[in-house]
Amino acid sequence: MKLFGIFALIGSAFGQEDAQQAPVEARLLISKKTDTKILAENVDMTFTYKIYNIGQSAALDVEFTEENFANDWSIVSGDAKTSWKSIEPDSSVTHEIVVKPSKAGAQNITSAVLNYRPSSDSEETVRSFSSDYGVANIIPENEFLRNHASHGIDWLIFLVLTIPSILFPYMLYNKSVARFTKAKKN
Amino acid sequence: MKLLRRMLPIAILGLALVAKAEEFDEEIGDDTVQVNEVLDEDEGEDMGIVDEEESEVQINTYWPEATITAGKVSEVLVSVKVASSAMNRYQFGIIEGGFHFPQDQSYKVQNFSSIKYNRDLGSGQEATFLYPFVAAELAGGRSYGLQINLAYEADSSPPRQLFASVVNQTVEVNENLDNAAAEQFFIFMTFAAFAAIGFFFFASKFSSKKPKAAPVEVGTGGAADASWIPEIHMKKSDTPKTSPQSRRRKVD
Repeated sequence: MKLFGIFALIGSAFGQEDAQQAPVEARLLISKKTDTKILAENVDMTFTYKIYNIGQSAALDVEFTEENFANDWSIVSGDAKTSWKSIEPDSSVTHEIVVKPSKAGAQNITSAVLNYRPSSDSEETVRSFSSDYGVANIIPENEFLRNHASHGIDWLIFLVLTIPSILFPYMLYNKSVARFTKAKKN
Repeated sequence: MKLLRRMLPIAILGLALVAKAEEFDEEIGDDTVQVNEVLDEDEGEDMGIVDEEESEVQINTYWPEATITAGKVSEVLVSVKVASSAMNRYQFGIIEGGFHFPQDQSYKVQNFSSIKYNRDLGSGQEATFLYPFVAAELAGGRSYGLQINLAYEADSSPPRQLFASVVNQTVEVNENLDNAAAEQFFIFMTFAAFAAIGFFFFASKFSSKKPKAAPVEVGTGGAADASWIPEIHMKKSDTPKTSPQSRRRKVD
């Protein structure tokens, strides 16, 4: 009944719902996404993993392994290997990893792997692959800095260079005005 | 007698039709028997293969967001599981989809980009595919039939190309309300401008028609007030009023 209710909620935006049987055992779906817009060398990238259980039983002994960031990447925060004791049916878990690419160019980022037991009476673990990210085009650091750095020193030098163009006409103006003000005083 | 005469051709036609129908029925009757037999022969094999395919790969979908908004990226998560009893390996290839009219499957309204996943799964393994798509901005505000298909391949001795319809349902696409406030403001301003123009137009039409009395120009009478000019400029000039040329002529 509860499952029906949840499906009805999810299906509220949809018309006729396809009769898709929810698996009796636990079934985990993992999506791997990043919201980082700019992929550049030595710039932090956050990957978010969302794990949903669409089955009717809890998934037990869930182990998450991410091996994509072992070479040419450094992990800033988050764990590449983590585990959960159980994930309840119709619930979801989120995991985040912040990584930093140390090499520029096109890099292929594939899936993370989950191993879990689909029900309490099964001893075998199921191996599940997350959605893969695809090819990430990491732009080199100098190009990134050229576009996105604050360029503070450049602005300072620019302001210093504008000073003569402003100061010189002002001094000339002052000289002319001084003549008339002196006449008034007289 | 007259009646009979009139009815005769119709009666003959009717009889002929009935006879033909009976013939037809008999033929069909025979055919159906034959067709049934043919089906029965193959039924075991066909159904067997279909059963095997269907039970070896189980496909489920999950929508992280319950609504589809036009102009924004919507995602569907497709989970495929290869049964532990499966004999073959499966390569999961392309997911593609589109919108079609709710009543008419063949009339495509929008095609989504197909995405190629190269995922090879053996028995007992599962994978999740993330399929993002964008409903066009103009699709907002009505419902369409959403169809998403997955094409994959079985690694059997002749490799089998398989095709599964992952999503096949009517969905409501919501309008993109990001700019709704700005659009409403500009519509209001347009109406206000038209109202103002109309108001001033009719106001001038129905206002008093008496023309304003034109002020009569008199012109400057008397000499101008020269008191503001400093004295230094008011010296009378000693120069003669005639030109040197004319003065020279007079002398000559």
